[in-house]
Amino acid sequence: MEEGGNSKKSIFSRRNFLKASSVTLAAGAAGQFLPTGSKGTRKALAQQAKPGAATKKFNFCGVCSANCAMVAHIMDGRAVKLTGNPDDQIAHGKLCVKGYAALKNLYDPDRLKYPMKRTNPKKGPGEDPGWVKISWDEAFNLTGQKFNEAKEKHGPESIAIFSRPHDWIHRLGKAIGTPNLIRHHNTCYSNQQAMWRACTGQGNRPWMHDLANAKYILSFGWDLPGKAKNMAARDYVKAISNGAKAVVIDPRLSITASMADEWIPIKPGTDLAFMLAMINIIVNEELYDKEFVSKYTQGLDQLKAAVQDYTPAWAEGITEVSAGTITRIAREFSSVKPASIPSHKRDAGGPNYTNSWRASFAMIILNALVGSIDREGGVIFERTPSMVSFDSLFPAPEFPAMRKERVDGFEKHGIMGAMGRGDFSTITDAILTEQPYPLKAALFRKHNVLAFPDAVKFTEALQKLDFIAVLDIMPTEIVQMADVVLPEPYFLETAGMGNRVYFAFYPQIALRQPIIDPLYDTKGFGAIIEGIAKAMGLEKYFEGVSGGKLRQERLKALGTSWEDLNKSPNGMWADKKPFKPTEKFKTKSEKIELYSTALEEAGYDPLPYWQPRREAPSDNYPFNYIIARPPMHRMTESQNNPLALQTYSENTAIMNTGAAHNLGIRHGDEVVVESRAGRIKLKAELTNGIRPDCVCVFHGFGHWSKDLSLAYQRGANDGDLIPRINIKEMVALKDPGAGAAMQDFGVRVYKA
Amino acid sequence: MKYAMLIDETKCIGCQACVVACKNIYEDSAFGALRTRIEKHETGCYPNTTYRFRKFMCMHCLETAPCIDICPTEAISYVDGPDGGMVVIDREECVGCQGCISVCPNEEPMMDPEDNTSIKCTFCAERIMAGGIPYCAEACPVGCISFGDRKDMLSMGNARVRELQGKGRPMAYLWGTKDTAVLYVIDLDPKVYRLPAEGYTLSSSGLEVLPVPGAVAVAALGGAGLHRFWERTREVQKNQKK
Repeated sequence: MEEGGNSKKSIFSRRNFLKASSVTLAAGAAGQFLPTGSKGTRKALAQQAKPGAATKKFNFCGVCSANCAMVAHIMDGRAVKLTGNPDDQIAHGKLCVKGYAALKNLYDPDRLKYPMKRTNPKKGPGEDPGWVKISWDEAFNLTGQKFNEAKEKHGPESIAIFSRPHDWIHRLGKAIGTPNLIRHHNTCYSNQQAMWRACTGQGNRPWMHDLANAKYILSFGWDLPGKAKNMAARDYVKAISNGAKAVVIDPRLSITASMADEWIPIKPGTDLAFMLAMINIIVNEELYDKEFVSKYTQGLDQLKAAVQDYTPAWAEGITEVSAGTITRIAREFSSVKPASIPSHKRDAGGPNYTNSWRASFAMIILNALVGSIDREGGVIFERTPSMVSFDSLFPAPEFPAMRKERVDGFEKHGIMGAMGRGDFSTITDAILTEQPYPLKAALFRKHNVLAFPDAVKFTEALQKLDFIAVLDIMPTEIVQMADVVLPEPYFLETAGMGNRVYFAFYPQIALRQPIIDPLYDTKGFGAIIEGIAKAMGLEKYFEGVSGGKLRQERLKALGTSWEDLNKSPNGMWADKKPFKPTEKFKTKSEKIELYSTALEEAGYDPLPYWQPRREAPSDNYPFNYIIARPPMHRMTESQNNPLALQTYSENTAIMNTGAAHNLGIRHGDEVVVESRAGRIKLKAELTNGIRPDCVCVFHGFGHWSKDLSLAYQRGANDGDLIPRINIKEMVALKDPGAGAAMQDFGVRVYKA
Repeated sequence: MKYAMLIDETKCIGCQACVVACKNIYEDSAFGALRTRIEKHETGCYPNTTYRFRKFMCMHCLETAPCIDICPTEAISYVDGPDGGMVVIDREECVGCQGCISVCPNEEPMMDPEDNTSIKCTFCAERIMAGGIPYCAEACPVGCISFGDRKDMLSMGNARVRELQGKGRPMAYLWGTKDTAVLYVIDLDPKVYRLPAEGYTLSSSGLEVLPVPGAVAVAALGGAGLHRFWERTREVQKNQKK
């Protein structure tokens, strides 16, 4: 393993720690878990293999939102192994590579161990925060005092909360009176979600697919098997092993593409044209599923009229895929049953280009035309148990009225605006220009600065805030920007329950037990939020919410209890109802709306007309920029995990061999990738599996926090190149999901 | 019973769950010292490109494992004889001479630089003896690793090859049927996977049995090579005494 000078040093000091910890393990684990490679006869080996003394605990994975149910194997108080829960519909007894590596996060010596405050007022890369250990009381009081100062001087909306949606955080935001709950969705899936709502009225998380029963799988950049997403990988492999045909349309030869029957390297940002031409063929040649379309959809005539100009010959000029190929795929897709187009987050329907929402729209239409929406082998709506809501169980005293609109302008977008969510692209300019009003304080939970478009500028913008409190597990970059750090336990140290949402054919709940006692002086998320609320004098909004009442009431409503779930032999609760396909959809017409009245009412095109991407490559920036993810890393959270790092240790600039040679770039050369927003330096990785006009960078690297001893300075952050967008520009883009256009710009590449 | 591991590379997504599950348990001290690894092998010119993964590990040579022959301290041995399918290493006996590394046709084992011993896959022999399966086979989320009775693995592998050939993959075959306890189902030329072609020759066309790959490497090492190897052994032993 060849490493740079700096990282080598840190690895070896880190290794010494691990060595020490593995000795402890060896002492306790006897022969079964740590064989040193014995010699001799089978009898001797068998004698050495003592019956397992491991105890088991149930948990579910918190590495990604799929939440695979897991079994933890504990020996002498130490968790030695995680396996998948066989009775979970998501896990099927297995975990993905990230789940198997999670114990290394739990036992990471770099973890946040106690509350801290900074003593160095200067913030940013290269600044040592000068951490001082403080008590929880001091941490809460300091946070409460600073938030109240901001509230009094500048109004409650001067406080922003950056966090994923969560009952406690919603309540805190409302109690403070700030509309600014800012989430990552417009860099993730808000435009796909907007389109599923517009066309079907449902699809809270529109990415559950019955791939195992599909006979024709058409991917537009969808690469969940390549990201090792458990259920998608398992079912894709099952489908193609059983003879399903897979076609992948992607500028890059993804893992999904490498296993498919056909890889079509389409010109980036033009998938919409390919889809429109497919619709043209399927509608004009009447290849659609007539029964499904007449019974469950409306708007076919308007759709037919709208796509008449979108012939395969027209699409060939845009996509660089031959008209013959497009026609053939349209005919195959509509003749083999079940056929479906899976879609999940950052594929052609994700927030990659300014026309991606239309591509997401066209994918839904294509799935509807072949009768694959909520039908076997197609896209499936999740079957989740209905849950008692936090607000109905704990009615709040009257909240203060909101005085202002959101600082990121997210409510300006029809359909999604009402859902809150948030805009990572516009927030940087909002802070820097103090428009529409100044932000003064922020609470962050795990949203790292590396995840924001134009991450460098966002980090600068944060320096304008008077006070930042951060809840986290690892000393990430956002922690380096904090004034107060509030450490949370790792999910394996916590209790709870998890609705099966990512892959739920029937309602099912998984139990989360703490697999070991907490290693450090951490507090659970709810307790931290309540602590801050109390310090702000807002405790009346949180009366009675703690103590597990929410989960108890939720389980009671389902006819079970927290005690029963804990006693369950498999750590699961399930209501195995047979799958009943949806007959009535939640739109006005109760049908899938190919012509979307919801979009029309919100002022958007009601049909997926062609629109080119915003910023195609130019003479100055001749390459398309593609962002992808390696299977073993979870966003920016896993680069300090020695297991993840050993299998993928640093990201690269992935380029076509021929195109790179034309620029004098050889495999392993240091190159600069530059956009109008910034520049990053990486090693070139040459392959024939990418279009010559593309450069691809994997997400998650480029950490600058010195406290991440293994991740520090490995690779570069793809996000440094993504231009931010201001609110005015975002509104002008007229994207119902306010997608962040994460790839809609050109880059240049040259030898460093 | 003869054991074997069947790896269906037509199903491998290259995620490295097997690598991580293995290293999580064995915790061999060096960063990057892995008993199993995933290699990615690309083939073809753009746009007719594809790639395949190969789960890289000790092949557990049957009968004539060159590492066993060369090991001066008998640290490497078969479990229950040369046809049992398991080659294990006792690292307490290993003096770090790297002889095994020099003769292995498969570029295994690896050195663990911290304690200066060889590491390699042992098929989790202790687990097997206790009725379990190797950690990698347990972990694989797409089910491309099977472990068990060699006869079963051969018939599963052959059935899968027939199935693939019937589905328009004429190059599908089972690699390793004669020489090794590791069997691969592959659907492209073995060269793509950096596998010697012998496996293909043996399993598919029934041609004359070629020499065990390891034996060739041992012969090639010859006089000078062996001399260097013993020199190295003595040097290592001397260092350890210091």
